Amino acid sequence: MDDYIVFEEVAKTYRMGETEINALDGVTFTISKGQFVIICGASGAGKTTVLNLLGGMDNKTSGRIIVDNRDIGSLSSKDLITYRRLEVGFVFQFYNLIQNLTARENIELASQVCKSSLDIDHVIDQVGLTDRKKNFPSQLSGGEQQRVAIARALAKNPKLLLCDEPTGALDYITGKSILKLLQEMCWNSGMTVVVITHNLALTPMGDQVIRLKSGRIDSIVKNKETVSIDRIEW
Amino acid sequence: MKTALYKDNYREIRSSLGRFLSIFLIVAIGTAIFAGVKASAPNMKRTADLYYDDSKMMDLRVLSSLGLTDDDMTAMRSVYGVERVQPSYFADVVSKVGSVEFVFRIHALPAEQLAIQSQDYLNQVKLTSGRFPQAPGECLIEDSNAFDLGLKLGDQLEISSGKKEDLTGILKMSTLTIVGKAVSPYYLTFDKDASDIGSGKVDFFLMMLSTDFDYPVYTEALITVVGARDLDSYSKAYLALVEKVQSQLENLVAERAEVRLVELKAEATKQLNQARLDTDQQLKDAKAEADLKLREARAEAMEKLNEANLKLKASEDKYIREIADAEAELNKAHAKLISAETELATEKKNYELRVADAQRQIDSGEKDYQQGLADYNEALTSYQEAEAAYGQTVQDLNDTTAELNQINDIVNEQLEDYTTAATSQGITEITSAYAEAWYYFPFVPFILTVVDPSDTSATTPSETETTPTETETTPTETETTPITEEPTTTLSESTTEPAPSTIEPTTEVTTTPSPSTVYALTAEQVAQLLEIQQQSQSALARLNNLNNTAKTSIDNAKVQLDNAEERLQDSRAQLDQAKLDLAEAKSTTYSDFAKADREVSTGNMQYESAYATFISRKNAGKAELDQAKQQIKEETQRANDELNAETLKANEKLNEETLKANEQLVRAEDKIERLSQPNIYVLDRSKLYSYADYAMTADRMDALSKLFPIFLFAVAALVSLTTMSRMVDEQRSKIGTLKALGYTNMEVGNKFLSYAILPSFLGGSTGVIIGVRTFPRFIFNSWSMMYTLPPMQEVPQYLLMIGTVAAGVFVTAYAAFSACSKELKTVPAQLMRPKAPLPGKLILLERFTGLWRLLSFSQKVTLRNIFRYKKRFFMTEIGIAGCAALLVAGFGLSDSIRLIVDRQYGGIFTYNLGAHLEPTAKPGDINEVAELLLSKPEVASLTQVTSMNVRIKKDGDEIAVTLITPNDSIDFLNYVSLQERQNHKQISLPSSGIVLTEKLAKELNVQKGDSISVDNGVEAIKKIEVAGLAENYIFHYAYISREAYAQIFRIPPENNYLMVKLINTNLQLEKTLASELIALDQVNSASYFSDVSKKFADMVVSLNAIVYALIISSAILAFVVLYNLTNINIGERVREIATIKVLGFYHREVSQYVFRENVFLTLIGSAIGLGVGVILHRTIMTSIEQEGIMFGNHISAKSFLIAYLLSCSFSVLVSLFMHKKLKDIPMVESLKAIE
Repeated sequence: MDDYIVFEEVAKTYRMGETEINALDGVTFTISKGQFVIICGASGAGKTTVLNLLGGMDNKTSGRIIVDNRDIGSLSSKDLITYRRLEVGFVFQFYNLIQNLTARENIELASQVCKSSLDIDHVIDQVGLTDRKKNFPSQLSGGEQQRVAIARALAKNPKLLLCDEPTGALDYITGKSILKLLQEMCWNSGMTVVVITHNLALTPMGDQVIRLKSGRIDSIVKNKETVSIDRIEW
Repeated sequence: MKTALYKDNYREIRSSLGRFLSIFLIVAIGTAIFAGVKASAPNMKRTADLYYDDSKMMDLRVLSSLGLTDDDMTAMRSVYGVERVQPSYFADVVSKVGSVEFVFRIHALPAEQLAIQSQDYLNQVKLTSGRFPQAPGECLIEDSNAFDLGLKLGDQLEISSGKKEDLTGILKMSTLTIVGKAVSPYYLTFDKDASDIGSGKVDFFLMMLSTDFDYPVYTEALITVVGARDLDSYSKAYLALVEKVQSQLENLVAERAEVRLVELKAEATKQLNQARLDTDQQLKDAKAEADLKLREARAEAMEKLNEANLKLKASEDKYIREIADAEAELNKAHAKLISAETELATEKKNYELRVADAQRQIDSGEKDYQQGLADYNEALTSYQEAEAAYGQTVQDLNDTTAELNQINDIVNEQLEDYTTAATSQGITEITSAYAEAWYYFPFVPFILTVVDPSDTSATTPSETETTPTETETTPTETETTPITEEPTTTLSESTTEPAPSTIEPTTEVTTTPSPSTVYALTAEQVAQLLEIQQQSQSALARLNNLNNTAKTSIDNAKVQLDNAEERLQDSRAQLDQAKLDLAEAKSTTYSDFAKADREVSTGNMQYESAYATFISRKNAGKAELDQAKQQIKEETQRANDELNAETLKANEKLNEETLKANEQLVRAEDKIERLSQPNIYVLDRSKLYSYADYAMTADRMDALSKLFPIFLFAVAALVSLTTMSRMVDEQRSKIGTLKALGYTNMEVGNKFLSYAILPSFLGGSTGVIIGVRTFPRFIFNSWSMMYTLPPMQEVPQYLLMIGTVAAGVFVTAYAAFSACSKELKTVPAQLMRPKAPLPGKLILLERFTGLWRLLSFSQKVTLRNIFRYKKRFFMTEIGIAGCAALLVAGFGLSDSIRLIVDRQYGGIFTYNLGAHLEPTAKPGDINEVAELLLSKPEVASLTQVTSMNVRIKKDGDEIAVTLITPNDSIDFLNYVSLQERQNHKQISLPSSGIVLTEKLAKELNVQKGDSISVDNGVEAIKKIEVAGLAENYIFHYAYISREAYAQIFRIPPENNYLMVKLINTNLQLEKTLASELIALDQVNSASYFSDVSKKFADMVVSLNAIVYALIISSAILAFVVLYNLTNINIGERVREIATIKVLGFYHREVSQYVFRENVFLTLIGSAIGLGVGVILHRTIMTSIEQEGIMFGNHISAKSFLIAYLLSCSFSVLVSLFMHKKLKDIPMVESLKAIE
C-alpha cells in the first residue's frame, strides 16, 4: 500500500528564451494508494507542474517519478499517452469541456478510449447530473460543468484522479459540493486523489498535505484523522 | 510616436510569420496569374502590330471577281484617306513535294521596286535566307517553323493549276526555282486561307515577281490608310479609321465594278447568246444531218427491200406458173396414160376372146387330130401287128417249113427209132413238150385268121381300126377250142416225150398237139405224125399261099396306112401350123401386150417420176420461195435494226451534244450570274485569316485571364478573411487592453489592417512583377509554334499592375477590416474577458433521431463540428470544390481533345484511306483506280464520292467547306457515319437539301430548315435548305445527295474521291497503300487516317499547356486553402485538442478527431467540384474553341475519378502535413492559457 506514488528529487526547468525558470527544484514525496492528497502553495510554487508531471502531461528535467512501480518520467511518448488514457483522470479549474458535445457526450468521449470504463449513466447519477446530461456545456452552470468534468474523469475508472483547482472558478457552496464529491469518490472507490488548491482551509480533509514553495517542498503533513468536507468551513 | 504600438505590430508579424506568409503567397499567386495572363493578350497584339508596321502591312485589300485595272488603281488613289495603292497579283497553285501535294499561294513582289533594290513596298517579306527573285521563274518560299518541306535553295518546283485548265492566263511558267526563304506579315499563322484547289487549304506561300504573272487584270490592290500605322492594329481606333476609308473604297469599287460589269456582262451575254445561237444552230445542224442521214438510210433500205420484194414476187409468180404448167402437163399425161390403159385392157379382152376361139379351134383340131392319130396308131398297130404277124408268119412259115422239114426228118427218124426208144420217156417231158406246144398253139389260129381278113383291114385307117378289133375276137374263138381239147391231151403228151422242146415251136403253131401226141400216141402217133407231115405239107402250101395273100393285103394296108399317115401328118402339120400360128399370134400379141403394158407402166412410171419431180420441184420451188421470203424478212429486219441502231446512235450523239451544249450554256449562264453578283471585297486586316486567328488566340487568352484569376482572387480574399478573423479572435484581449489603455479604434484597427495590407501589398507587387514578366512570355512562346512572329514586344502595363496590386490589397484589407470591425465596436471590458466559446447546439440532422442514431459517436461529433463553424465549412468547400472543378476541367479538356480525334477518325470517318483524283482525271479513271484497289487483299471495300471545296455563305459570313456528294447515298453511310450528336439519330441524305456539320452550322448561325448559299467556285451561287446537322469535330463538311446536287447545280458532279476501308488496318499498311496510290497518274493525293489523327493530335497538343496550368493551379489552390483553414481550425480548437490529448487520445486519434471533418468536407467538396468542373469545362471549351474544330463537351468517367481522387489526396497531403502540428500542441500551456 505504501509508496504508490514516489517523487524523488524531481526537477523541472522551463527555458524561456535565454532565461531558465526552475519550476520544480528537487521535490521528493510519496503517496500511498487510496490517499486523498492536497497540494497547496502560493502561485508559481510549482503545484501545477507537479500535477502535470504526475499526470504524464509534461516531462521532468531530472529526478524520478514512480507511479504504481513504473517510472513515469522515462516512458515513451506513446506509453505516456496510454498511461494518461488508462490510469489518470483530470479535473481542471476551467472544466475544459468540449463545447460542441453534450454533457453525456463529453463523458462518452473519455469513456470510449479506455478499457475498464464505468457505466456512463451511473457516473452521471453519481455526480448528480441525471437531468442535465443532454445539455451542452454552455447550457450548464459552472458547478454543473465541473461535475461533468469530474464525471468525465471518473468514467475512465482511473487509479489516480488529479484535480487542478477544481473549485477555483466556483462559488463556495458549489465548490464545497464538488470537493465533497471528490472526497466521497476517494473514500468509496479507493481511488487515489490529488487535489491542487491554494485554499489552505481545505487541508484537514486530505490524508496528506504537501506544501510547496518556489519549487520546493515546504512541508508534508500527514493527517491521522481526516475531516469530512461538510465539517470544514471557510 | 506610438513606437510601442509599431513594435508590437512588428513583433506580431515576426511571431506569426506563417500567417503573414500565407497572406503574402495567396495574394502573390492570385495577382501573378491574373496580371500575367491579362498582360499576354496586349503583348501578343503589340508584337504583331509592330511587326505589321515594320513590314508596311496593308490596311485594306481590294478584291474583285472582275479583276482590277490600272484605272481602278488611279481612282482608288484619289480616295480621301488612302495613303498608298499597290496593285498586285496572287494565285493558288499546287505542287507535289515528295509524294504529297501542297497548295501554294503565290503572291507578287513588285518587280519595279525590287529592280532598284528598294524596300519601299507594301507587305514586305523578310528574307531569312537566299536572295530576292531577279529573273523570271524565281521565287521565294515560306520559311515555316511549323513544317519543313525539305526544299533547299536552288530546288525547282513543278506547279500546276490544280484544275482541268493549265496555268495559261495565270502564270507565265510552270517551273519555279527557289532562290530564297522568307517570312511574311501576311501569314502569321501556319494555317492559312482556304483554297478551292487541292486539299482546300493553302499550305505555303511563294513570292514571285509581279512580271511573272499572266493575268490580264490585277487580282488585288493593297492599300494603306493615312495615319493607321500609328495606331494599334487591334484597337478600335484603328478599325474605325480604316473603316472610313473602307466604305469609301467599297462604294468606289462597286461603282466601277458596275461600269465594268455592264461591259463584261454585255460581252458575256453576247457570248452567251452567240454560244446559245451557235449551240442551237449546231444542234439543229446536227439534228438535221442526223435526220438526213437517217432518211437516206431509210430510203436506201426501203429501196433495197422493195427490190428484193419484187424479185421475190416475180420468182413466186414464175413458180406458180411453172407449177401450174407442170401440173397441167402432168394431168394430160395422166389422162393419156389412163386412156391407153383402158384401150389396152379392151384389146386384151378381145384378144383373150380371140385366143380362146383359136384355142378352141386348135383344141378341136387337136382332138380331131388325136382322133386321127389314134385311129392311125390303131391302124398302124394293126398294121404293125399285121406286118409283125406277117413277118412272124413268114418266119413261122420259114420255121414251120424248116420245122416241117425238120419234123419230117424227125418224124422220119422218130419213126425209125420209134420202135426202139420210145418206151421209158417220162410223162413230164411229154407234158412240157405239150405245154410248149400249147404255148405256141394259140398263134396258129391267129395266124390263120390273119391271113384271111388281111385284105379288107388294110385299106383305110378306119378300116384298119376295125380290123384289129376283128382280129382280136378271133383269138378268143380260137382259144376256146384248145381248152376243150388240151386237158386230156396234155397229160398224155408230157408223160410220153421229154424231147419235144425243139419240136415245140413247130408244134406250137400248128403241131403243138403233135408232140403230146407223139408221146401219147405210139402207132397212132406215127400215123398222126405222118398225117402232120402231110398236113404240114399242105399247110406249107397253104402258108405259102397265105403268105402271098397276106403279103398283098399288108402291102395294101401299108399303102393305106401310109396314106392315112400322110393325111395325119398333114393334119398334124396343119394343126401344128395352127398351133404355131396361134402361139405365134399369141406371142406376138403378148409381146405387143407386154410392150403395151410396158408402155403403160413406163407411162405410169414416167408419170410417177414426173409427178415426183413435179412435187419435189414444187417443194423446192416453195422452199426457195420461202428462203427468199425469209431472206427478205431478214434483210428487212437487218435493215430495220441498222436503221434503229443508227437512229439510236444519232439520237445519242444528239443527246450528248445537247447535254454538252446545255452544260456549256449552263456554265456560261452561271458565269453571267456570277458576274451579275460580282464579288467585290474591300477587306481590312480582320478578314485576313492570320490576323483574325491571331487576334482570336489573344482574346482567348484574355478570356482565360478573366476566368482563373478571378477565381484565385476570391480564394485569396477568403483566405485573408479567415486568417484575419482568427487573428482578431486571438488578439481579442489585446484589443481590449489597448482600448482600455486609451488607443483609438483607428489605432487599434490599424494594426490588423496593416497586418493584412503589408503582406498583400508585398505579395501583390511581387506577384504582379513576376506574373507580367513570365506569363506573357510563356504563353507567347507556347503559341509561337503556331505563329510566325518576331520576338515578343512587351507593352508597359502599369495600370494593370497597379490595379492588380490595389485590388489584392483592397481585398485583404477589407477582409481584415470586416474581421475586426465587430471587435472594435465592443467595449474593452467585454473584450478583456475570454470570448465565450461558440455554444454547441443540436444540428438539424439530430432531429431525425433515427438517422442520427445510426451514426457513430465520432461521426456525430464531426457533423456537429462542421455545422458549428459554418464560415470555415463554406471556405473549405469552395477551396476543395474549386480544386476538383479545375482538375475536372483540365482533364476534361484533355478528354475532349482526345475525343475529337477518336470520334472523328474512329466514329465518324469509318474509312481508313482517302484517295483524291487528279483534277485533270477523265471520268473513267476513278473506276480504274477503284478496281486496282479492290484487287488488293487488304482492301475491304470502297465507295466513290465527289469532294469539292466550296464556300458556304450566310448573312455575310463565308466559310470554306468540303462538300461531299456521294455516288451512293446509302452505301456512303458505311464510310461516314452521319448522325446527330445529342441523340445519335442517323441522318440519311435527303433528295433535296444539304447536311451541314454541327460546328459549321454554329459558325454560320443556322438551324435545320434555314437556307444557306453554296458557292462551288464554278457554277452560280445557289441557295440550299439545311436538311440536317451532323456530328463532326474536325474541319467543316457539308453533305449533299447526288440528286440534290444535280438538281441544284444542273450539272451532275464527277466522282473524284475514293473512300477506302481496309481489313486489319495499321499505320504501316496505310502508308504503303497511300504511297502506291500516289504513284498512280490519276491519283492526286492519298490520306490515311492513322496519320491524320496523329497529326491532329500533335496540333492540339499545345492545348495541353492549359491542362497542366489547370492542374498546377488546382493543386496550389487545394494546398493553400486546406492548409490555411486547417491551421485556423487547429488554432481555434487548440484547447479542445489539448483536452482530448489529456484524456489520453493517441496522436492518430487526435488527428482523426480533427481531420475527420476535413475528410468529410473534402469528400463533399470534391463531389460538388465535379459538378462545378463540368460547368467550368464547358466555359473553357467555349472560350478556347477554334474555327473549324468542335470540341465536344466530353469528360470521361476516368477523368472524374482522377479529379476526385486527386483533390482528396491533396486534402490527405495537407492533413499529413498538419499531423505534426497537432502532435506538437502542448497540453499544459494550451489548457492553462486564458489571456
